[in-house]
Amino acid sequence: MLSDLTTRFVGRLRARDPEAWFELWETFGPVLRAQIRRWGRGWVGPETVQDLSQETLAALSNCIDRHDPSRGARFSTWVLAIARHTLGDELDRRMAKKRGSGKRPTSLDESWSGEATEPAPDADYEAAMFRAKVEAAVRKVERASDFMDFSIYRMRVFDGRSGKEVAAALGISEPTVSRRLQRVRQALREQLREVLTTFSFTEEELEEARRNGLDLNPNKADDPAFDEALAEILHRQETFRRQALAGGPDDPPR
Amino acid sequence: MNLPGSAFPLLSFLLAAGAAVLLILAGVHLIRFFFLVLGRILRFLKREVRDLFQLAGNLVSAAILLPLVLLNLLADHPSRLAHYRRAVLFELRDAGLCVYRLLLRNPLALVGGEGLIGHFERHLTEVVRHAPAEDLKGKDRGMFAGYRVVGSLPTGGSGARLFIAEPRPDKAAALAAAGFPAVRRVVIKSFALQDGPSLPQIVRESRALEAARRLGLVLEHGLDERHFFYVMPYVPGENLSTVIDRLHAQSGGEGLPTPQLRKVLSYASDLLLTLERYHQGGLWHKDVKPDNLVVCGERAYLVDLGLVTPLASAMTLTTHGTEYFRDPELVRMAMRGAKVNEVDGVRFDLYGAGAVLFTMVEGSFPAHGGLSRITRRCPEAVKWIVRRAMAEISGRYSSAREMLLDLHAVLAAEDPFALKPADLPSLGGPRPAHLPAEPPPLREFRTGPSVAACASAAAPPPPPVPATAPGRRRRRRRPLAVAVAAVVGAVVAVGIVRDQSLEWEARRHLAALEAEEAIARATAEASVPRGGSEPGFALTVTHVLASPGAAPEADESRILILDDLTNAGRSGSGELAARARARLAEGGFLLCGEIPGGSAAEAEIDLLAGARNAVGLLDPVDAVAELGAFLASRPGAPAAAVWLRPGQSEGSAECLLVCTRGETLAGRIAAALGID
Repeated sequence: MLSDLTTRFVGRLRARDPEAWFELWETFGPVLRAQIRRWGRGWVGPETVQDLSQETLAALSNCIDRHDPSRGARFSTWVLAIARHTLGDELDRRMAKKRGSGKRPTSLDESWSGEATEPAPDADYEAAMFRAKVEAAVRKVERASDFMDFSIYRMRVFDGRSGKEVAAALGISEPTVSRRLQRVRQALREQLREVLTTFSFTEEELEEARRNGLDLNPNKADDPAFDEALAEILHRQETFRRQALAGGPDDPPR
Repeated sequence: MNLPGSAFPLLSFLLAAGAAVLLILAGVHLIRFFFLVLGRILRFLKREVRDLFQLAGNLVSAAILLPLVLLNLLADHPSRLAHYRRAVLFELRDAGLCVYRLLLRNPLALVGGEGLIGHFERHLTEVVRHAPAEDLKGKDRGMFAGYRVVGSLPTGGSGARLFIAEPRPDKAAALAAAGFPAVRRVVIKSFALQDGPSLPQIVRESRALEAARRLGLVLEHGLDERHFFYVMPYVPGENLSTVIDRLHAQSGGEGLPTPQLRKVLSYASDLLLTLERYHQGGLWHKDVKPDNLVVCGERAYLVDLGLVTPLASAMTLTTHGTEYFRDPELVRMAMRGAKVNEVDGVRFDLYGAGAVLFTMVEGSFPAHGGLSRITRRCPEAVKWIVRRAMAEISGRYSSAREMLLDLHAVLAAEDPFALKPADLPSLGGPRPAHLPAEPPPLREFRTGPSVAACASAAAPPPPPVPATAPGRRRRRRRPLAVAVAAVVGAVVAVGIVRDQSLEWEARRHLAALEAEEAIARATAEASVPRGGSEPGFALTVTHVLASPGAAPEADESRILILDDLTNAGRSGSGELAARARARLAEGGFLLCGEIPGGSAAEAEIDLLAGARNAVGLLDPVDAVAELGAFLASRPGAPAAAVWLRPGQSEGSAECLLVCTRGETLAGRIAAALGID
């Protein structure tokens, strides 16, 4: 069952809202690029990967009107299927062009977006998709928060500095640091809930946050664990982005 | 030690169990290793077979197409000939790639050399991509009237070609007369009019040319039946990306040592001073990135005007720029259809400056946008500056000056690592006593005493000798090592020859430039009239706006000066501006705004930036109206502004007078200036 947020977002995509498409590209573009690079290793260069990941979103644009959420596909699977189709298309085109065999590119069957098991996404891909959602939420909070509040959270949680160090560096008191931290943490929990709901088609996808140590319900006792899990996810995502851009190892961090 | 008899069987059992566990673990690892090796071998075989078939396909296709090429050559069908020839070349290129994969890529991947392959493939592609375009030959060298083309530069993404040229004597004299003395070499950016796709680019780039010329960034521009081109000063040196790579390679990956850190911070300072000049001139650079900064000696120069846009332009915002150095918010705003004058271009340039600073201290670009972490050795205060520059737009520095003050607090600190963010001026810390000198404007480009530094930058010290590996490993890898060493040796040899040639070229060029500039400056100084009631003081008031519409607290005794004379590049124009200022001061007015060499307060700089933004590139009639509206709307602004601009003829200047308190004040200002 799709949430209102998902329906609204898919509606914006269907209405060809450029901002919604940019959000989709900004959030999942790096994961798609990495995945296409892994599949097409040795066959497609970095520029083709870039083009293909854009084509994937264009294909998404074409088939979004036919998407049937009741068939139980995960959001990540749905995007992956289209990426795979786009890459397959490109390889088919190349082979057809090369041999002159007249082989046509495969058509995008609706079943691609309907089957939950085809094509089978691996754990790396799923982890990268989840991290991308978390990153999107953090970016939204960064945009919406006061600069000083977010900087304090960043220094304390992402950079691993103690509250005392942060207070000394910025010339403020430790209780102020704690108060501002709490404000950002609260915003993060709310935004994470919203983003994960928007980019999830199934209940199982919604459960990913809890499985990864992100308790989205305000709970003071769980705050340190929440911060730790968030920092870990973001650091992995940063490493993943660096490796994906540098054309590094095939396997992104889990 | 005596053990009870029953302990022996237990001990034996435990030892046996331990050994069994170890054996099982070893077996598991052995099996995993076996399957790993097997998987690699199978993948290798699969790739080899696939590439072998593809190679065969390519060669057969080429063999089939080749007779068609010959046939069309004999039958004199040039179009078909070109078509088939292109097809054969594609097949042969693909065949070459197959051979490369068969003989090098796949075997290296088999022995775990993916990293090596990736490195070579990426770097070779980069090297080839950055190669200069083909040089012009024969008559084509004189295709730009007044210039002789002597070389070329790598082309950018705009479709334009970039040439290095030397002005002929008559052109050099004309440039000197126009206020650009000692121009020995220039860069000509040329768009071929026959290339349809270039036209939008031409239109876009031409929009900012007049403003760029006022700032001395463009010497001249022209249009003939074949080309649209503009001429810019040539800055010899290396781009910042190369310099950063070298500095980080020398530092061994830990981060920059303090002296090198200070050096890159001074480059960032040069960038910000230049951006401040752009912004005060009403321009948005829009493509701030390391590749667009040229380092010579101790200074960094911002080049490439390809995306320069007037801040006040009413055109629709485009997404042009370079990913990771362009704020994603710009893309969002462009997708909403925002106009250029509806967004804050200054802050977008500052995002780029923050990304450049990040790249300098981290050694790689900010892959994670504003959330990118600096992991290498870096003062906390610098991390803060980067964060603030790349923050969400409303939390970002509002002007280049604000960021510059923070940066200079770090540069002025005895130990940058001891400086806390709380000590930065933007967080209430003390302001640095003084800012270092601005790099010379491009039209007066010279490196002065730092020629040697420029030369040393071109010839880096040899890299540290790597530790030798154990003998057996070395023996096993010797053939590969020898091959790699041979390739690297050849590349290094070519690099050294090129560096030596660059060094010699830079020394020769700079020495000549300095001598010519000294002569030109002496000539220019001699031609400026001196004295009190000077006949050459040809300042005329061309437009006056005297509308009573000032904010209640507007100060009648203050005048905002917008000075386009000092940097106009015309002989004596700076002198005229200085005299106008002196007369206004004698008339009892307090001046604010552009005071050459002075250190204006931040509020004044904001005021000036706002005024510059308001007038943009409007024509004088609209500009005075906009300026009047700006002064009237700004709390605490002066009641009047005087805009000094170059006149139509050499030695003359125009004065646009804007008063928000009626004609009495306008009359007082005109009287102070000695103009009716």
